[in-house]
Order: sequence, then structure tokens, then C-alpha cells
Amino acid sequence: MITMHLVTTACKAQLYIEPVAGFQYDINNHNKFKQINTAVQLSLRTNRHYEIILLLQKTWPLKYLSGDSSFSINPGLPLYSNAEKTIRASSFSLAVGNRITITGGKTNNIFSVILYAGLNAQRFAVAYKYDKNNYTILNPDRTLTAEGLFISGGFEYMRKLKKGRFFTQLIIASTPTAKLKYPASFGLMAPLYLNAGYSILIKKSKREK
Amino acid sequence: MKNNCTKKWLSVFFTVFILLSCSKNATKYYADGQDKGIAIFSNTGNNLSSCFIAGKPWRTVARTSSGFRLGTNYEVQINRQPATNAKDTLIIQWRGYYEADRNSEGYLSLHYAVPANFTFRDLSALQGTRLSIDSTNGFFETGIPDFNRVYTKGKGNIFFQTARFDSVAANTFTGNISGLFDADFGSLQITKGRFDHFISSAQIRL
Repeated sequence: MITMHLVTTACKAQLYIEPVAGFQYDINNHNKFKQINTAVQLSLRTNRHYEIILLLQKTWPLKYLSGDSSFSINPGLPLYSNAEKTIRASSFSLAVGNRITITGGKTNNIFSVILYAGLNAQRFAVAYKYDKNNYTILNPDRTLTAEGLFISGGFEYMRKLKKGRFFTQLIIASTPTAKLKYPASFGLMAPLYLNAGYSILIKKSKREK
Repeated sequence: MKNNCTKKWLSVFFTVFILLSCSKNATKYYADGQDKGIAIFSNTGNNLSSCFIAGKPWRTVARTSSGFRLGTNYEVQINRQPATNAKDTLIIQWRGYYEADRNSEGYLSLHYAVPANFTFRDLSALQGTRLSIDSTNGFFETGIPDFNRVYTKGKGNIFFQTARFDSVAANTFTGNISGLFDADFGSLQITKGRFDHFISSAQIRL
């Protein structure tokens, strides 16, 4: 019975591959961390109002520069010096999503709600520039990683074109269900994405044209 | 009847055992990525001091409080010791061990000359100051079991990034200290020292 249903669904469905690119802000750390976002999605359109999506996403860090206090015990040197800190925050996600049409299902302009849930891994690469022989950083950060489950959701506008579909998305994601095991000056990222993508039909259904 | 009695004694034994074995560790150790083997330099009340003694990582004992009113094992004490001359001595003493050998428990202390009317406010005034300890105004001392001797009269430097104390009752004080130190005993060097402690009223006598 289940096999029959799957076969029927597969026959009716259209399969798309969707390269996605965009930009993301981290709203959990006062916009400290910004990233370029790249993703590829497989979208299975089962009917006019619903698509199931498999998402593979990688974000590329834009460096965040700041400073930390460092102090010297050497009486021949100034007590205080600024230690230049660079943080590169990146992430990787694997998620299953839902594209639910709100309006415009029969037209060329479609508005949808997007919901994802899956695994998210975040990495914060920390590097310092300072006089390491003579100075000691107070409350230093260090390179940290965290992995956990996450959910995200947002809105999408899609325009049907002669060949394929163009879409833009505004999506907000939760922090992963993990904790940093270090008293860092930052927390896990909860990104706000602004993406654009293109749907390429790779398998047409037998019934629909 | 005898069986009931045994059960009662067993339940009493286990209750006492659980109460005695409940202990809380108030020390937080975060390894320094730059200076391998010792903890980071912090000012968040991690209740820890660490350094290299003769190049070997050394750290203070964990601050543990046992259950059932058995008291707390403190890693640092601050005392003012009256002296015969006009100056008293402020002594900050840390208890600790080599990271590689937990049975090597010894101590490291700073002896610093202070006026006889030295108060917790004077201690707080050390915040932000870097002192050169040059054996006229004080000295460092260390007693580590594997040296089989006490190294005393060490010169060095100490920086108090934090020194904040309040009086909570008559002659009773609490506060925070954090900072950096190094010491030179001639044949023995202490390097990269850092400390970060919340000081309870049981740890300070001025």
C-alpha cells in the first residue's frame, strides 16, 4: 500500500535542483558575524501547494575584527596593550524543509512559507595578533565548534520563468541545540538569511507538463 | 526483627554516606591555548591560579566544599601578619600542585610590606597596579615537595587587574582578585603566573 502510494506520488511529482546564494546576519551576537551563504536544494513538488526539500548549506565567513585587553608583567613595558582579534564564524547545515504555498499557486507569482529542521554545525575560528612573549590576554577567546539540531522558517517569493523558477527567501534560524563549553565573548549564531535561488527542473512528472 | 534493624542501619549509613560525599567544585579550569598546560588569564571568579614553576605547569587545588557542614577546601588565603617594625606583612598564599603530579602539593606565596593601618580599602586600591617585588618591599616564597627545600626571598612582579573588597561585617571582608605574576629565585623561575579568585570571608584576615 505504502509502496503504491510512493510510486503514485513519484509519478505525479516534479523534482528540482536549486542552487541558492545569499547573505546572512547573526542576530544573536549583535550582528557581529556576517557570512556569504551557499546552498543546494533538492525540491520534490508533490502538488501545487506543497514541496518537500532536502537542503545542504555552507556559509563562508566574513572576518570580524575586534580587540581584547592584554597585560604585561614586565615593568619595562607598558602595562596594557590591545590584542587584535579576528573571528571567522562559519556553519554547515543539512536539513529537510517544507515549501507551503500561501497564495498564487495557479499564477506565475507564488508566495510560500518555508520551514526547515535538521542538523547544524557552527565553527568560530579565533586568531590573535599581539606580543605573545610579553603580554597575556585577559579572558581570551579560542576556536570553538558546536553541533546540534536547529529549525528555521521564513517567507519566499517565487517567479515562474519560461525555463525554471527564480526565488528569493527571507529566513530566520534558531541556534543549534548545543552549548559552547567555554566562556567565550560570543554565543552560537541564530542567522537571518536573505537568499536568492534558481529552480531547475530535473525530472518532469508523467501527468503534468 | 534482626532483619529490620539491619535495614535501618543500612539506610542510616547510606544517608550519611550520601551527605558526606556531596561536594561542590567552585573552581573552573579553562586551558590556555597559547601557554599550553596552564589556565587562561581571567577575571570572572574561576577560583584558580596557575603558572610554570621551573618550566612545569603548576596549578592551585580545586575549591571544593563538602556536604553536611564539613567546610571548604580553599586554594588561596590572604592574611595580614603583624611585624616587629612599623610595617606589617600582607601575605597571599596559594596551595597547589604540579599538573603532572597531584601528590606534589605545596605552596607559593607573596609577602608584601604594608602599613600597620592597612585596611580592605588599601587592598582594593591595588586594583590596576603593577608592583615590583624587590626584597626590600617584600618577596615571593615557594615550598614544593620535590625541591626538598623552601625557596624564599624571590624577586618578581605582580599585577592586580582586579582587587575589589567590601566589608560585610566587623573585620569581615569579601571580594575578588585577579592578575598576573612572575618570580625569580635565582636557580628557579616562576613564569606566566595568573590568578582569578572570589575571596570569601573565610579566606581573608586583615
